[in-house]
Amino acid sequence: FDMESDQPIRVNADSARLDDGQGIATYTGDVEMTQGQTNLTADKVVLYRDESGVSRIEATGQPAHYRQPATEGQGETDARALTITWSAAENRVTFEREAVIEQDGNLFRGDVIHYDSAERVVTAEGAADAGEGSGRVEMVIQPRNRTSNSPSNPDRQDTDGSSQSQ
Amino acid sequence: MSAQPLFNRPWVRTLGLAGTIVALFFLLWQSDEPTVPTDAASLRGESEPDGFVVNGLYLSYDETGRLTTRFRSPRIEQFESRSETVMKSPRATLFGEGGNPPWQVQATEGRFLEAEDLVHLTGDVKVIREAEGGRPLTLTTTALTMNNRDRTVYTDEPVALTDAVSLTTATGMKAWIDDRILELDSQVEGRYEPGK
Repeated sequence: FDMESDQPIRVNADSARLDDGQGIATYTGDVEMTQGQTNLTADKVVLYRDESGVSRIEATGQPAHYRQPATEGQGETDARALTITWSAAENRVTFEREAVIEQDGNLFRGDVIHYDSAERVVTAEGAADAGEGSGRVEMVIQPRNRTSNSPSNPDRQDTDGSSQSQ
Repeated sequence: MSAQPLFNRPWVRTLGLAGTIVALFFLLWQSDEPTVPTDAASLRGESEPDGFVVNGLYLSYDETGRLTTRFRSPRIEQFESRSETVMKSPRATLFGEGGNPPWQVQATEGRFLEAEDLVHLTGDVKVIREAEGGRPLTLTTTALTMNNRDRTVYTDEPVALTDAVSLTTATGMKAWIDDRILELDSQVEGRYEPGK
């Protein structure tokens, strides 16, 4: 979500709990948040506000789903995870647990994926302790304009640890 | 000169007689009218309350003597049989604990049920509250109930909440005055203006 934009952030939910003292609003039940074409759906969304406005958004779902529309030169970003966190200070979205991001036909899968929504840079990490997640990062990157490579066998990279793509 | 010669003149006696007849007629006409003064009856009003206060002020304290609620109304009527007090255009201030900013409450009409310590507000209900950072939070609805005992405010009606950066609407709500927490029951729609 773009805090510089003059487009409002709209939230719809079944119910809500507003803690006026802490500046926290918790929306539960079929929650949908939109700003222009950017869209987030989840079972529960916690919205933190400070003097300057919305500072942090935490969404949880089975999975929570985040979509950012295509812009010039960049395709749509479609991402899912059990937990999606957006921070205004870092202008970054973090996908945790069963995180999957699809962008321009490329696919990133990992336990933790950071997505810089301004620069559109994806950083994926495997889980530190391999107990819960697979501990591995998987990326499927579509070749650019190379006819020899059959689409059925795109470049596929499996790494353990972190990797970065633009 | 004594008054005796004056009474011997015929026109004086006729005049006196006429005056007496008029006075008698006036007294007869007055006697079957009720003697209740008309301005008191109109002041009391058609609903004939047991007691009423014009431009009154109603204060409520907790057990430690701390002022918790202050109601002001141009007309307060009290009905003993129903233990009920009806207030026209009430303007209330609810004092939060621990120095929390107060809530200002206003409506077209308010009914205070003494037995349950409840206040029912109806008609253009507006609740204004200084929220965190001093941005006023305004809640509007058509009916609202305030429970003085557990310090809650609730309604089943549609509500709208506005402050400097957001507008939230919902149907049904409950708020805990001292904890500054508010729950919206259903059909919640929020709109935030980023960085406004």
